[in-house]
Amino acid sequence: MGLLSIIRKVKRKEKEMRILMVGLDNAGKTTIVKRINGEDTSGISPTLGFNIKTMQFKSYRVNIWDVGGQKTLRSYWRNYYEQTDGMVWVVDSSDIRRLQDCREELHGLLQEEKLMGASLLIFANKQDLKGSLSPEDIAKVLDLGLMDKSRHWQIVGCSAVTGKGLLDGFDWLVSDIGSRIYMLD
Amino acid sequence: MLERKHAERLERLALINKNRLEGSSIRKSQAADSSDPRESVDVFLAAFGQKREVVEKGLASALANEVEPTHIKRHLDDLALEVGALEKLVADASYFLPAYDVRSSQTTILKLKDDLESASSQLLPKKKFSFRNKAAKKVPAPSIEEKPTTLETGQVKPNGLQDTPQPVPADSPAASLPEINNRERIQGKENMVFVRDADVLGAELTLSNLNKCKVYLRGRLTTLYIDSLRNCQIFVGPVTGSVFIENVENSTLVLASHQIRIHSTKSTDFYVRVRSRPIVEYTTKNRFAPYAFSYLGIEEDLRAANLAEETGLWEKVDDFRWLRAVPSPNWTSVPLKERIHVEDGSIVTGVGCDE
Repeated sequence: MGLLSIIRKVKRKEKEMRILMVGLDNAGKTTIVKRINGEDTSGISPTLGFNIKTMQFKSYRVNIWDVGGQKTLRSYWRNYYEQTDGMVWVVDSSDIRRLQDCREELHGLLQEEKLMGASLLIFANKQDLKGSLSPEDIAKVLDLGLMDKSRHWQIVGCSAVTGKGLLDGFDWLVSDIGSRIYMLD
Repeated sequence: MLERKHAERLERLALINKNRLEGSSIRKSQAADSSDPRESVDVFLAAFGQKREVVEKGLASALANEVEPTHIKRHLDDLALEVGALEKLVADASYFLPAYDVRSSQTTILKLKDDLESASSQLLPKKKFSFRNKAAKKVPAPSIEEKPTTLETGQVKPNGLQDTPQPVPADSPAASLPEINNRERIQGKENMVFVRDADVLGAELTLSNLNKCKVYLRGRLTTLYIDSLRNCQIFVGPVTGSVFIENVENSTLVLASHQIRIHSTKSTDFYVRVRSRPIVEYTTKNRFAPYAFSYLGIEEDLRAANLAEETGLWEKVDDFRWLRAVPSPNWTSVPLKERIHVEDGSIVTGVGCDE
C-alpha cells in the first residue's frame, strides 16, 4: 500500500503510463506501434527482444513496450508485467489456424497477478484482408466475455497497413487508464 | 621509634578506611540514583499513564473535529509516534516489570493502535478510498449491485483475484471456428501442380497439408500462410506483407516478401528475397539462397512491392533458438553448385483456381 501510493504519486506528477503490447508472432504489434508513430513500416523485422516507444498521447506520456511474440520469447513476457497500466493484445484476424493458440496465450496472460488491474485493449488486426474475422467473431472465439466482471476491456478492429481503427483503440485505452490512475485530477 | 611507626601505620589505615567508606557511599548513592527512576515500577506506570493520556486526548480531539482538516494527517502521525514511544517504554522496562504490568500495558498499546487506525481511516478517507473507488469503477458496467460488500471492504487485488481464476473451458464454443468462405486456400492435396495468378488469387492465400505438390503463385500477394507441407516445391511472386511458415519438411520454397517467419521446419531449402531479416525457430537442416523465380511481368510486380533489389538479407537469418555470437547450427546457405536455376513460371500449366 505504501509503495503503491508512492508509485501513483510519482506517476501523477509526470502523467505517465506504461502499456504492454503482446500477442502471437506475426500479429502486427511492431507495425501498429510504428504506424501510430508515423514511421516507415516496410522494413520491420520480426521482433527479437523488445522495443520501447514513448509518445505523447492526449495529455499523457505513453510508454509502449512492444515485446516479441515468437514462441521462444513468450516465456520472457513475464519480465515486462511489472507496473503495467494497460495491455494491448494484438490478434491476426486472418490467421484462423492459430486462433486457439492465441486464445490460450491470452487467457494465460490474464491469470497473471501482476496484470490484474491493467486495462485490456484487443486489436483485431489485419481487417484489410478479406479473409479476416470480424472483431465480434474474434471476441467470441477468444471468450472475451469471461472477463466482463473482472477487467476493463475493449476490442477494436484495425489495420496496421491502412491505419484504420488504431487511434480509436488507443484513445479508449489511454482514457480508460487515465480515468483510473489520474481520477483525482 | 617503634611507637612512632605504629602511629603512622594506624593513621594510614584510618585514611584508607575513610577513603573506602567514602567510595562506597558514593557508589551507593550512584546506584540509588540510577536505579530509582528507571527501575521503579511506580515511575514507569506514571510515565506510561501520562503518555497514554496524551494519545487518548489527541485521538478524542481529532475525532471531535477539533483539529484543522489540513493538519489532521500530521496530527495523527504525531499520535502514532507517541504510541511508538509507549511501546519502547514498555520494552525497556519489561525486564524489571512484573508480568502483569507488562501484559496490561501491552494490551493498552494494542487498543491505542486500533483506535488510531480506525480514526485515520475515518478521518483520512481520500487516500484510503482511492483504491476502492477504482475497484468500484471497474465493475459497474456488467452488474453494479451484485456484490456491494466486496466493493466496500475489498481492494483492487482481492477483488480481481476473486473474479479472474474462472476456469477456461477447454471445449467451449470457441472450439468451433467460424467458417470463412471467401478465404483462398490450397489444402489437403497430393501429387498435383497448381498455377494461380494474382487477379484470381486476391490478396491472401493459405497453403496447407500438401504432399508432393508443385505450386506457382504469380502476381502480388499481401500475405501468405504456409503450414504442413511435405516434399513440395513452392514458387511465389512478391508478398507485400508477411509469410508465415510452420511445419514444413523436405521442400523447396521460393519467396519474395517483406517478412518471413519459419517455424518447426526441417530439411527445406529457401530461396528468398526479403526486406527484413528472416527468422527461424525450432528448425533444423534448412538452407538459404537468393530468390529464384520469374514469370512475365515479375519485374514490375517486384518493383511495386518494393522488392526490386536484392537486399542480401537472405543469408542474415535470425535463429530465435540460438541467441549466441557463433552462427546457428540450424541453417546454412545452399552451396553455389547445388542451387536451383531461376524457375520460369511464365508458361507452366497446372490446376487453376478451381479445385
